[in-house]
Amino acid sequence: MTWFSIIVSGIVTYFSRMAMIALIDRDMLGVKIKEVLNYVPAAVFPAIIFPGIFFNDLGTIVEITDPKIYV
Amino acid sequence: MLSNSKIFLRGITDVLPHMLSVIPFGIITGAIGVEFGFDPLLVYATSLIIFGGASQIIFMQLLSGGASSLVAITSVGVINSRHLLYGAVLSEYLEKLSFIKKLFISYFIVDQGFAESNKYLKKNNSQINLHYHVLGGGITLWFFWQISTISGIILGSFIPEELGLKFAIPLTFLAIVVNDLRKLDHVFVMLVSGFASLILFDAPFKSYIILSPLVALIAAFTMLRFKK
Repeated sequence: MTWFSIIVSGIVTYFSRMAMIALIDRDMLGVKIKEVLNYVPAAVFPAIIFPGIFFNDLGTIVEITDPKIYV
Repeated sequence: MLSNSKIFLRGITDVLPHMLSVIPFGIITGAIGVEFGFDPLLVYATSLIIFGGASQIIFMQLLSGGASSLVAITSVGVINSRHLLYGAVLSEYLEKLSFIKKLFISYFIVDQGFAESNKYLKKNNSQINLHYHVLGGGITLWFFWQISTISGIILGSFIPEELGLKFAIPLTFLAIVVNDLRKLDHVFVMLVSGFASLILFDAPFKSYIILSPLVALIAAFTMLRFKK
């Protein structure tokens, strides 16, 4: 069952990587969409950065006494 | 025009600084998988088949905690759905490639590779062989990810609890966006995304990782309308 889950997860992940590159024709995207795509890095990476810095493993705000601060 | 191999090499060197966080993260991923009680082969299979650090850890964490396959698969799908955005951006430079090449190159698209290639492609968009940069960076990240997760699996419990790396991952991502901090419109989008991620952090299936970018892109869209 675990193997099955890994393979399905792999297919889902690969699909997310491949879909927009191999299946979608760029002409299908409007000018406005293309313009907004310039902001993809600015829109995606802070969502990884902020929780990593401000939250500890429990999902609560990092306090100044948290040993993580001194790492 | 630069040769294919030069661009490939540039892809490699551009992602090398990211190894500072990728290698330890890979080692941790391998070690954690074994610690969760999974068969070493199975832990490694996640690196080969799923190939996405955060989603691999969440996947194993959920299954070892007794969650159903459906929940684990859904979480991986949600976390990795951000690749749709990367693909949409990169498709501009990859659209001339044959279908088979597109299928091949897609496997190697990860955060750090996307970020570096996106920067490079924007600057050099007159070149026709730019996909070699995506390949150079992607294959390098893939290679080091495989090696480091295998190391983590072998070293297992010898790995110190956290390696003191809690901050390493967010910080290397910070390095990716630091250049854009000079542009006010990008800073605005980043702040929207960052604060949205803090607010949405507890949303199910770790969906903050895709919901926050979507909120930020809607904000960008709105901002562009006001600019005109």
